[in-house]
Amino acid sequence: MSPRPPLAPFELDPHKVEPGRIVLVEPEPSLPAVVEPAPGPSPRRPWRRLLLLGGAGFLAALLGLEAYDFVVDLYVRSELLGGAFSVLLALAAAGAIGLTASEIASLRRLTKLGDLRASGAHLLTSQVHGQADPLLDRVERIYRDRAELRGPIERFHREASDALNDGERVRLFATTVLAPLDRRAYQAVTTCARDIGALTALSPLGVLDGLIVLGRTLAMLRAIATVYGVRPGAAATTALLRRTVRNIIAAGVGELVSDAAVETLGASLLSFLSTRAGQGVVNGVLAARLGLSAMQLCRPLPFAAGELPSLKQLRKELFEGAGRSLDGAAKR
Amino acid sequence: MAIRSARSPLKDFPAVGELASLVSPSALQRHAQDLADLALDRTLRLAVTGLRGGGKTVFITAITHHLLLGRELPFLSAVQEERLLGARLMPPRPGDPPPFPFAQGRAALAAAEPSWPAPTERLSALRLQLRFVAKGALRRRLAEHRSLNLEIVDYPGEWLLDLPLLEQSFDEWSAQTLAAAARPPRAALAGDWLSFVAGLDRETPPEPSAVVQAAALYTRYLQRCQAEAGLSRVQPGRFTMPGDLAGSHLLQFCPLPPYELPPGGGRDRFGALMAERYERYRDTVVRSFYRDHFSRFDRQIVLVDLLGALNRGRTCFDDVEAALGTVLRSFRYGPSGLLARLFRPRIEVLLFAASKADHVAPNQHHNLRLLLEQMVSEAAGNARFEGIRPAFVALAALRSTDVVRTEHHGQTLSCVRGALKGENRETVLFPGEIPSELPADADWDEDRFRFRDFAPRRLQLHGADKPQHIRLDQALEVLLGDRLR
Repeated sequence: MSPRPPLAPFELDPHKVEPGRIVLVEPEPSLPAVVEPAPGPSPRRPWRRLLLLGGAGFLAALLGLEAYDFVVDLYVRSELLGGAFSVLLALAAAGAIGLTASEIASLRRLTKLGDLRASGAHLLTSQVHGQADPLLDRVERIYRDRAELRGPIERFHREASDALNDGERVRLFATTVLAPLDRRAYQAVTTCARDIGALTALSPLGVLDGLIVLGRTLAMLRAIATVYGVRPGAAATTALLRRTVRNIIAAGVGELVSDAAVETLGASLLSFLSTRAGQGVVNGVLAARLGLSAMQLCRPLPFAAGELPSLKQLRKELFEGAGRSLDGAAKR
Repeated sequence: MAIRSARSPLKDFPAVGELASLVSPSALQRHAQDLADLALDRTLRLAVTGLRGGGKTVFITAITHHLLLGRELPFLSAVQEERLLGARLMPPRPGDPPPFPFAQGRAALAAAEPSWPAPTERLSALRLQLRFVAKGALRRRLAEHRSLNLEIVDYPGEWLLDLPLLEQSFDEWSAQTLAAAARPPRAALAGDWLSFVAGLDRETPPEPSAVVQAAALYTRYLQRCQAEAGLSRVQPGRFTMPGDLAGSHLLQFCPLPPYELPPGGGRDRFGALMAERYERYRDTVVRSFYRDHFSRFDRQIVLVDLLGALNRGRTCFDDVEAALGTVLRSFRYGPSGLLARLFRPRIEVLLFAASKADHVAPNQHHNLRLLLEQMVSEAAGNARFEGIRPAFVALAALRSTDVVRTEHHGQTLSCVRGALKGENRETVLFPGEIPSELPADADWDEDRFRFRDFAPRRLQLHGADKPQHIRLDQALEVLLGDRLR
């Protein structure tokens, strides 16, 4: 509270006050959104970074030099041949540059989402007014072009009255605009987990299992990121995978252990029936866990308590789905 | 206090008293239906509690309107997830109180010149059936469309103050009332009644005219307490708001100072008559009101007109605080299971709401809520002790103002714009600030709190482009969100 003495109430007559002095506020006065510093490169591993950068640069330079020599040689042989190859080389170089740029952009988008999420987490419990709108505006800009979100965004603007405080606005935005995205991402997670479960249970080779799990998981991560508007490239997908795994580990070894215990118990019961089926279940649930974690990492606003579907719920649905497909198979 | 309430007659199982009402077949059928609904979790009895002028009627009208409309409630998860199919007003069952005048109330708010509803004068009941799609695959498989019957009772806020009488004898009540009447601001108003009572010859058989006169003077005193001093604790409530009992014998009594019998013996005949009438009033009027309408609630919202209490000054503020404290002791709180719901219902969700939040700028809502928390801390603490966690909110059932920003001596102030009650013009008002703590003595003597009442803004029946309430949906989510799953 400010130390100034409280101001006594008074009435203003809008007809006497000069026009322009009374302003309708919608939205409330805006202050710059609080943006927490983005997590920079980890300071503990500068040497690794140096090695990677130096190695990549060296390889690129080597490749460029080789190509240059090659083309120069061709020019010596025939002008025409040299010309054709240099055009091809230029195309390839442009492609490589474009690819790199798009990868960097998609990584940037991922980082930006992280920033937004950090500010959102800060505002979620806020009771004051005026800081949510700049943040929500930035989030909205990500989704403004999507046809299917135009309705929810309009609804948000209709329903967000100026009486709501920052926390309420952020929550309202999440439940109005992001909820449909959450549903689609969740759908992607369940589908993928179910696929992995079924395919690993059926696949005859161990090696094939690994390939299926990897391929499907990457596809799932890409799908989730696309739903939330990241449009991921290969680098962003890899980064996402890495952060997801790190997130799961950070989420608490305790939870992991208890979950794993339940899973293993369930799986070992199931593996009485079939080892492969048990393995399928474990793989499926692991993928689901990865997916939920990725949803948290791709969403521009943090999940409020109880908004993120729990693994328990997901497991229930998975098994129900499995049961249903077994039913279906039996009928057929 | 825990010991007292454990022994109190309120908590007795009312089965014996109810047996009489169980005999007719239609009543029997109704009770069976009630039990089935309760067992299946299909009924939710919401206690809308509040003193006079707390905003109960407007709140009930507004939630009914919005639930029927099924829109403008973004924080109610069933609406947000598009699972609420619709709502329907149910006709009253035989034996129910008269239906809540919803259509009239809504029409008055939606009229070209809208007006707040008149103070409620009698009991009425509302039954609203909500249909919704169950959440989650498993529940949907059990029954895709579910329904919930919301039952609400509206009543004059004065009657609520009768509930503490159930635990008091005539002598206790007299002593308490007289002690209060001896203190300002009541002392100035109680003169006529007290001098009349003091001059009575209490040993001769009471004259009917004297009885009527004593009751009339006491009623006048209560009315003046309410109207002139703005006090809330006026007991018995039916004296100022008699409802169907106007002119009845049941209301002809008043508290008396203790009578010292002369050494030769004798009888305080007047006092005996008053005590008898008090007990009759307590045992018929108050107890049946409590048993029929107040003993079986699942959820409760307590509406407090904090701004009005601040306006009326320190004594009235303390008076409201004390009145709420005593009233809320009559309710039973605690987590509720299936058996408890069937046989000993307890209030499992308690929400305190500061009403008329639109009368101040939104940046004051936080303080409004904090102040409310401190004002009802005793009742809230009691509920916490019983194992439920009360919630607090600042709301406006019908938003009547806009927020505007003005410059004032170099400061930017958030003001509200609306039509003041009783004046037919729009104005911009800086309503003042709400302290985040209970005001200290020094705060009261300035003219710091002068919150003005606004006239209602016309209710748009088919939805407006902006929400027509403040946090009504959040209140509903707390009160019934989990039952719409």
